[in-house]
Amino acid sequence: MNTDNISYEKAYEELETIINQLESDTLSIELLAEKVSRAAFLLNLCMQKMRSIESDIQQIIGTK
Amino acid sequence: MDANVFTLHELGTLIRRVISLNFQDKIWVKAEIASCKVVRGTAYLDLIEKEEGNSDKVLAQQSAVIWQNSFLRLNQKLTEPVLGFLETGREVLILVQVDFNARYGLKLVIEDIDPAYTLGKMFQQRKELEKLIYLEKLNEPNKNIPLPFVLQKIAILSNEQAAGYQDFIHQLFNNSSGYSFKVDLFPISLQGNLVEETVIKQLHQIATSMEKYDVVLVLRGGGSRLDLSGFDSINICRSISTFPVKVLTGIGHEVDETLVDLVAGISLKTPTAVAEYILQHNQMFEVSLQQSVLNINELVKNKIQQSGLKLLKFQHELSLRPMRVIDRTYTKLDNIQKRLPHLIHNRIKKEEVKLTYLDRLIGLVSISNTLKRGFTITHIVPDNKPLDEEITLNTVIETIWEKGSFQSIIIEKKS
Repeated sequence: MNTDNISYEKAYEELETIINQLESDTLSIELLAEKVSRAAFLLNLCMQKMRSIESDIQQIIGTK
Repeated sequence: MDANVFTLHELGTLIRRVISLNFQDKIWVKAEIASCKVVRGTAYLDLIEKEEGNSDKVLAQQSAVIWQNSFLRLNQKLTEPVLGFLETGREVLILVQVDFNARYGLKLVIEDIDPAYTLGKMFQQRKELEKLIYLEKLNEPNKNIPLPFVLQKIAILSNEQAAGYQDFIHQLFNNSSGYSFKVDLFPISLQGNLVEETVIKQLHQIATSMEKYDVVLVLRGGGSRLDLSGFDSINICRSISTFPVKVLTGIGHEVDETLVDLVAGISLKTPTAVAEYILQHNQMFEVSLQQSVLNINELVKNKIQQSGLKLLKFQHELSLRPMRVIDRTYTKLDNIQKRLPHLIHNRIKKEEVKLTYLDRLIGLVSISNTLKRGFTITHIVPDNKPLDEEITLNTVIETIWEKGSFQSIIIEKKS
């Protein structure tokens, strides 16, 4: 699960699931720390991916 | 020798005298030419009269002659060449001197020809054939055949010696556009009775030829009306009207129009005009080709321009859309980042609330709290057994209360 090869969509989907579980109180307290840590990791991953994509796109458009 | 017996010469002389006496004046005679032969300037003819409505039955036949001097005189006097009147089948009105020669027999010596009679007859015949052409719609089919875009392979019905043919060839091949042509001559007779036969034969030849001609031409230079009358043939007209290739005619001068001209696909005034028409036709194709090239260039230019505009639009969108998507995504992620601590905090808070509640509930039901509220606990000594229905008198029981405990003995039991 904890792999860096995860796609943006998969990462975001998993992140959304954790948020939804938090919102609806369906997240087990036992797993709370683990899930919150996973959410932080996924959020960071998504951000990184976005920054990388953004910089790629700017480079592509800029060189046109 | 018997006085009643004549020598042949005597009889001939007698007949000549009788005839001379009875035919002192010249006589106008109408007749049809059956044949004509010119020998050293003198024309020898056979005249006939056929039964009306039955062209096979000859009612009368006579030999006739136009002596050389009359022939020359008539040629100068008449607007049409004398020979034109003497073709087989022509109807003529002639001024004749009836002449009998003991050696050569009876002969009509032709002194004059009335051209109006022959031309009138021809005009009448022509009118009737013209009516027939329109009745049978012979004038339509060849006109409906489309001309190929380019005319290059040309079959010509004419004659190498004909001035009209030479003019045509000169005009066609000395063209400034540098067009080349493949021209095949199919020789025909240009006047007289053989016109019909040769034209029909050569049309058949062209139709069955391996070569696929773009167009067939009938060319004949100027001539007298009698000369051109060979082209007033209903049989030629029928052949042309069913002919599979477009036929162009250039027969005679500006004013002439033969029956063949009526049924031709395109009738032009002269052979030279036919050459001009063909060159113009090919030029039109060349011009339309050039126009097409220009049009194609224009279309391609437009297409490229349109595509360029589209690409520019795409480029513009490409520079905007991904950034919008990225912005939206950042917003979402930011949102999550902001909400996450609250959600975790809330989740933990809720759990703590639940635990506090449980703790209080547990506190509420504990023994010391119960004793504090004035309740006691009683059990049987020494086993600490709870009280039950089997308890007996004198049993020692212990009672615990808030401040301590005491023992008692059962002295009375009530149910």
